[in-house]
Amino acid sequence: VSSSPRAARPSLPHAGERARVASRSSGGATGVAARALAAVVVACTLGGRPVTAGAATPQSAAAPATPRSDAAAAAAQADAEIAFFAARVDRDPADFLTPTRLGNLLIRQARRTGEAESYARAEQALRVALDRNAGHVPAMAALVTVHLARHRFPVALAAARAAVEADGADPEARGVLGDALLETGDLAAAEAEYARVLDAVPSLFAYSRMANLLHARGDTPGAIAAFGKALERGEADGAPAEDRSWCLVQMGRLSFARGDWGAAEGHFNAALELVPGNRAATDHVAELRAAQARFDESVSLYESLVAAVPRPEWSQALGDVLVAAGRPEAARPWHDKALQAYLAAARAGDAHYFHHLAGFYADVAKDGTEAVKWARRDLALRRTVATLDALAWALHAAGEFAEAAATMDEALARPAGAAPDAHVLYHASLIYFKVGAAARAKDCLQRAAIANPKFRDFHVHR
Amino acid sequence: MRILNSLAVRACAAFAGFVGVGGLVASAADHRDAPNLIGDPQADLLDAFAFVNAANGRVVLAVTCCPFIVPGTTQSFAGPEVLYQFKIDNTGDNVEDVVVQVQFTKPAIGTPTVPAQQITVVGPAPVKGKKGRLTDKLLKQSAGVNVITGNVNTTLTNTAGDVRVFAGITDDPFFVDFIQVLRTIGVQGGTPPVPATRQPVDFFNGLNCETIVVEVPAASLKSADSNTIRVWATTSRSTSTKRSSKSDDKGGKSFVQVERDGLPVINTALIRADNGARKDEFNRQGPATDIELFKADAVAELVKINNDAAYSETLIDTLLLPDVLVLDVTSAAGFPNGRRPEDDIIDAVLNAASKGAVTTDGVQTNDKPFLTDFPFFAAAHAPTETITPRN
Repeated sequence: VSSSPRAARPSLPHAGERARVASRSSGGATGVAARALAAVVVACTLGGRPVTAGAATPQSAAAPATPRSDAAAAAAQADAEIAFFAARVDRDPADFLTPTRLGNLLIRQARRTGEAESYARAEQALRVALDRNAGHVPAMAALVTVHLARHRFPVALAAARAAVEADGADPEARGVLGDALLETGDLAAAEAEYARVLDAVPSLFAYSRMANLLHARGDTPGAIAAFGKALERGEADGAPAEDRSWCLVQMGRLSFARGDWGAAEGHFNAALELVPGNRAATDHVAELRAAQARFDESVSLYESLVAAVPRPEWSQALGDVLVAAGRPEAARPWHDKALQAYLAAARAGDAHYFHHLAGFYADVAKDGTEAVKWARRDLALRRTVATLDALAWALHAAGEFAEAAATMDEALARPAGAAPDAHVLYHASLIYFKVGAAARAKDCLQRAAIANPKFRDFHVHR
Repeated sequence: MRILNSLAVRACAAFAGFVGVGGLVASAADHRDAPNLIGDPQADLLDAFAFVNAANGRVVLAVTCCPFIVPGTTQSFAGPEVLYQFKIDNTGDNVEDVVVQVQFTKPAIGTPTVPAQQITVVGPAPVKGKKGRLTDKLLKQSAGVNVITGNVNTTLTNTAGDVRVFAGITDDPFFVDFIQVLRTIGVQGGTPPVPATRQPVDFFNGLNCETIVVEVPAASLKSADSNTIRVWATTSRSTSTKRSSKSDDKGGKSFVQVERDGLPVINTALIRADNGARKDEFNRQGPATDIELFKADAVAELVKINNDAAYSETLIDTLLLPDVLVLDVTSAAGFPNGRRPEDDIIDAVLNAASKGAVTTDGVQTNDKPFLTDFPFFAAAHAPTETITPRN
């Protein structure tokens, strides 16, 4: 009936190059996974052509805001699709395809709006699909996506394993298993799954996951290059513009995190050229503008985003920018709105915003006790550098410096903590200073400055 | 027995939908997202049609794409990044001799009035100097080449009045009790059998899709020596990365073919759906090498259905490959003479593939009557329409 094109196999570098890069870059990974990751790295660093999104001057930024009519039309379209398929679920009690599609539409809606309710409805639809056909892998994979989004990581991992057991050759099942492993901090196992996906479907889908893995390992330049490779494959394979634009946003995001604002701007511009109004790109351009102290532009962009889509993290970002611009009174309503939405989601049983709550209480509300509470709840779901850093920073806010230092020790001792984000290192330096470990604090501060010379400028809590 | 198992798996995955990435915000510290595997509805070909309009003797070429459009959607999903082509072989070598190219301008997103999106149709035009190659360049709009430009959802006619064009959202013309087919053949292991009391349900009842229809004089497609033409449709994507936000840029000059479709279900069902790379190889080729490169794949899939290698091989050789619609331009008969919208393809395929073991899915007609004149495909379902619950 209908089929979708998949990617063609890219040419890989010769074995010697792969082995050499593997030993340097894959952090001890072995076997097929190491070879695959090495191939990604080599393809990015040696064989891949330069990414075309060059540095741009600040003045050259494309207008990123989504016209209201576009946003309204897109929202209306999404609502109409969801209503249509929701009404069809009961048309045929044997039909497992319609609730699967409904579930995926609701996931897309949830990602767009940040509304936990949409994830709940997606899960409900997908469970109907699986009640009707327990072995339907697309529904199983989509349900894993819901679990991951709701930060039910152990559940997601089990569900992903079940999907792979149902069809071990399904790249989507392998991909979401890799995602679940990555989120739970098992980078080696995630790499193995992504390697299988890369072998089966060496496409934007596979390379972008490898890029996430490289970033989780602290290899930001490698991750940027891998996203470039994903983009290159997407171009060659005719991948949808939205997916290619997404890769450019990631490249810009990671460039920003390294302090390379010119490259970031170039990537965001390219993303917006490809998909005008791309909200993720708009979000990051707004962050960049605030970092550049161009607060009015940043505020305007965030206002356009929250007007289009009520994502609470964008409300918080708008509030953060207003604070940075010296307008705390204007920021308060946005912070209040964000907090209320975070808490509402948590009360509804959704873990998605635990991490945001920890950060909000630590940095905005300055309530260390609450920050620690939410950070611990987040950490209970997965033990990663990000969650350990969040707890350490919350403990610092609560004045529990010794435990903060111990927690940060654990974060930096993890395999992925060897080259952490500059902000983690910055947190570490302040925590170690509080416990009298001045040398270590200084070392962390120096490493933070190397990782991102502009790490003390404005950035959004993500 | 597995009948059309690959078809089922493939179509299930496609229908499952894609989460996509629009609006995602990946967060470095918190949670990562990445695009899902499936998701190119714009270039996703559904069905190709080729038949003779009995009223005037002209040949009608049609292709559907962009599946699962819900009633009320007026915004086109087709866009300037994709080049849609009809390819016609009139010498029997399964290499295109004549092509018709269709391109869309950017959809009129968010416009509440009649969409301003336009199409440009170029051809039929002979493929000069491209014999044996995939057509990956835009035809030159030179003197003598038919060019029609106008709004979507409107029947357009050339000056001579012998070429008609329509592109827009219509009812999805495919009719099948898809769930019944899947359940009957035991796809997706462990599913319960279909109750004997089940009434057929047209799975595509109430759904719309994008449809491109071109009606041209038969003489513009056929050769002087033969009345038989072979037809297939392709989609190609521009290799250009950037798309201007300020103009109706039609993308780059070069394209990469991402899908092709001739006979119903061949691409979907008989070229291994569980092997994405193999599927891509098929999609990027023309039909001239189908027998050489893909016969073994197709026979292997058919044998799973009918357990008869000799029969399967014969079926492949006589009907199923190369993946083209073979049309006698002097006959208004339907499948296997080309394909008309009303032809019950699933019954024909089930019957042939299963060696007569399964003769029907129970759905014999479309949910909306097809039109008797151009553009032949039924109007799109409207949101206020009452959709018949059965067949």
